[in-house]
Amino acid sequence: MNTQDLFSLIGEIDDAWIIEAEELSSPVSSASSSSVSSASRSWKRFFPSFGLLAASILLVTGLFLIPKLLKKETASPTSDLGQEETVPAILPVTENLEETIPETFSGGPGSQDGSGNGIAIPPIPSDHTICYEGKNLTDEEASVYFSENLPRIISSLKASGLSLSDPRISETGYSHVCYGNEADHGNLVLNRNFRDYPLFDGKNLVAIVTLFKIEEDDLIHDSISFGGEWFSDFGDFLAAHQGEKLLFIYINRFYEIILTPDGKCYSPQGNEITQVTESFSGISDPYSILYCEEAVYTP
Amino acid sequence: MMSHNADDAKIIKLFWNRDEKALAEVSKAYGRFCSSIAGNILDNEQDVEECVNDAYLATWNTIPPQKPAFLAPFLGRITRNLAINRYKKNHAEKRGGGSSELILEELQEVIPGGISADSELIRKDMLEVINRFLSSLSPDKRKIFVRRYWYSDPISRIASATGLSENHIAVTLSRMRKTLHKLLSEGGFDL
Repeated sequence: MNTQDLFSLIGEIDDAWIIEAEELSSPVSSASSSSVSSASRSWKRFFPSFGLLAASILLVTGLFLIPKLLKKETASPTSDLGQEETVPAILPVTENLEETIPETFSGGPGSQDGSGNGIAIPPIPSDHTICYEGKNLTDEEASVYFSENLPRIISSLKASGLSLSDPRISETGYSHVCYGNEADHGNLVLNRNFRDYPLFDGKNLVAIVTLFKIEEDDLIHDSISFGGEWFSDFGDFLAAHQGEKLLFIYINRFYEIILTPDGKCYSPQGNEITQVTESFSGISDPYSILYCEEAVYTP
Repeated sequence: MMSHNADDAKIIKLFWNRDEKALAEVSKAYGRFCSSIAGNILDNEQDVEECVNDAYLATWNTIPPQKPAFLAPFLGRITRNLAINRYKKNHAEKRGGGSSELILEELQEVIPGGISADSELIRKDMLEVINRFLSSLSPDKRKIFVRRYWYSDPISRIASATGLSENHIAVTLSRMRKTLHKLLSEGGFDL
C-alpha cells in the first residue's frame, strides 16, 4: 500500500465524521468561490436553460451520451479506489422505481406537496384487488440490514444534531397501499420493495428509516427522515394505539394517511384530512377494503 | 415524511425526476463545498473546475439509482475521488501535483510496512480500523484529523478555524498519525 492508497481509503470513512467535520470549515474556503462560479458556468454549457427544446435535447444527451462520456472518468475511481458505492455502474431508470420514490420526499406541515390543500383526493378504486409491485423486502432482510447498518444510521443522526441515548429500530416495518396516482393505473398498489421502520429513542419516535430494494442490483438501500415537528405527535399517536393494526396508505403516492381498525383516519404529518374522509363517503368500511397485511404496523 | 434537510430532499427529488434544475440547485448548495475539496487536492484552477463539473455529472448518473440520505458526504466523496484520480494523472505526467504532496508525505508515517492494498478484504478491514480509531477520538481531535486527511485542508486553515496555533495542530496530527499507525500494526496489517 502506498500513501495514495491510504489517502483514497480515508475517503471511505463514515459519513458521520465528514458531516461532523464540516462544522469546522472556515471562511477561507471561500477562496475557491471563483472556481465555483466558473464551474457553474461550465456545467451550464452541458445543461443550459434555453427552453423546452434545448432541455429535451440536453436531457437526452444527459441520459444517453454523457454517461458514456463520463464512463471513462467514473470507471477510474471505481476501479482504482474500490468506490462501488459512490460511483456505481450506470443503471437504467425503471418507471416503477421512479414513481415510487417521491413519497419519501413529500413535505411535512406547510409543504404544498404534502398538505393536501387544494389537491383533489381521488376515490378508492372500484376494483379492490391489491396489485403487488417490486421485489419483496421482508422484515427478516431488514433485520440483517440493520444489524450491519444501524450504527452508521445512528452516527449520521447524531452528527446531524439529534441527541440519542437509547436508540431502537422497530423490528417490524410497513409498506403502503397506494392509489390515485397515474402510475397506479386505477388500481390499489402495494410496492413491496419499500418499507418504513420507525426509529425510537427510548419511547420517543425520532426518525423513520425507509428501506428500499432496487430491482437491478437486488440490494437494500436506506433513506432517513427526521426532524419534522410532526414526529412528536406521530409518536404520541403510535403510543396511543399500541396493539392496534394500523393501516398505512399513500394517496397520490405522497399523501400519507393511517386508518385505524375502528375506522378513524389520521395524517402522520398533521395534514388536514377532511378531503380524505369526504372521499370515503358512501364506503362503509375503508379499512377492510384497503386492508393488506404488508401495509400494517402494530405499535 | 420530511427529511432532516429539506434542501437535500428537494435536490435529490430533482435528480430522480431527471430534472436539469438539479444541477443548478446542487451547484448553488454545494458548489463551494465541492470546489474547496477539489481545490485542496488540485492547485490548478482549471483542474478544479473540471473536477467539480465531473462530480456534478457523475452525481447525475448516480442518482438514481442511489438515494443518499446526506448529500454533502456523497458529493464530497465523488469530488474527492475524481480529484485524487486527476492528481494521480497529473503526477504521472509530471504536471505538478499540488498541495496534496505534503499530506501524502504525512500519511507515509501511518502505513505499516509490507502491506498490500490489493485485497478488497484488507481494504475493508483497514477501513474498519480507521473508523474505530476515529470513533475513539474526541470530536475536536476527530474534526482536525478529518479536515486534514479527508477535506485536505491546509494546517493553516485548520488552525484558523479552531483558533489553535499551527504548531498545535501539527503536533496533534502527528500524534494521531502515530496512534493510527500503531492500531493498524496491532490489527495485523504489519505483515
